[in-house]
Amino acid sequence: MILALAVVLGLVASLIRHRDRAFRQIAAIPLRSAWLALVGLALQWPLLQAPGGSSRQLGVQQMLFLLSHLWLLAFVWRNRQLAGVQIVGLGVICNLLVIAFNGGFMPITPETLVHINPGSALEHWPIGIHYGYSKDIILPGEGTNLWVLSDILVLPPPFPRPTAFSVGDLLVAAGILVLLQGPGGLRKSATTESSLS
Amino acid sequence: MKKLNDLWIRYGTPSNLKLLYVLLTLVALAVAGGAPGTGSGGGGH
Repeated sequence: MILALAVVLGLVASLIRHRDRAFRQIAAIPLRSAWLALVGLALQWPLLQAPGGSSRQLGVQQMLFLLSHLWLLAFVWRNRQLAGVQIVGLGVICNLLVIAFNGGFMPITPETLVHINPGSALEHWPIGIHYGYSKDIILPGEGTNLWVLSDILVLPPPFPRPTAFSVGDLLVAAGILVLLQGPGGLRKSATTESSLS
Repeated sequence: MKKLNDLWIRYGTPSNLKLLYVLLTLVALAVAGGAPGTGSGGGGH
């Protein structure tokens, strides 16, 4: 949901700023080695497809998930000249830190899960279980390292699907929003303007 | 199939394909970087 929101807001902001040149601006973003991001996502796919259950049965998925961050960080490094990618990189590092300090998954508390699953109770969310179709593991707040970087934020109503996300997710979304403004990001770059005309 | 070919000729321009490539990369980056967030209904045990 937060990704969809970032993309929609980014596109709307780009359309307002650049009007009929918005899509040309986005197409002009000089992304290098895009395949690194695609490989990063492909490596995470098995974990994102795993249903809820014991995290101990997800050794391979977890290893691929951790490995995927190397590709993501390589993509960030290759494109570090773009302001939006710098913000995305900060988000990826925040998420990687909390994941690395909590056994290789993004922690989420049972309380947050009750928030995003209205009608459920705390006992529905046993500690140590992988939350299905996500990167998350259920951990108590007091047992979570770098708790502040874990999935503690909740997208409130009126958004149709309650969603939990982290500070890192917020940074990634902000970076995507900035990237969608074109090669100059939020700046009105003279070189960008002239290169497109 | 003919209609598909017509659509391709009309919209499959290099600039549209570049736009698609950039958008796909950004979505891949956002999903892999973490931005999809954790939705309801994932299920635990």
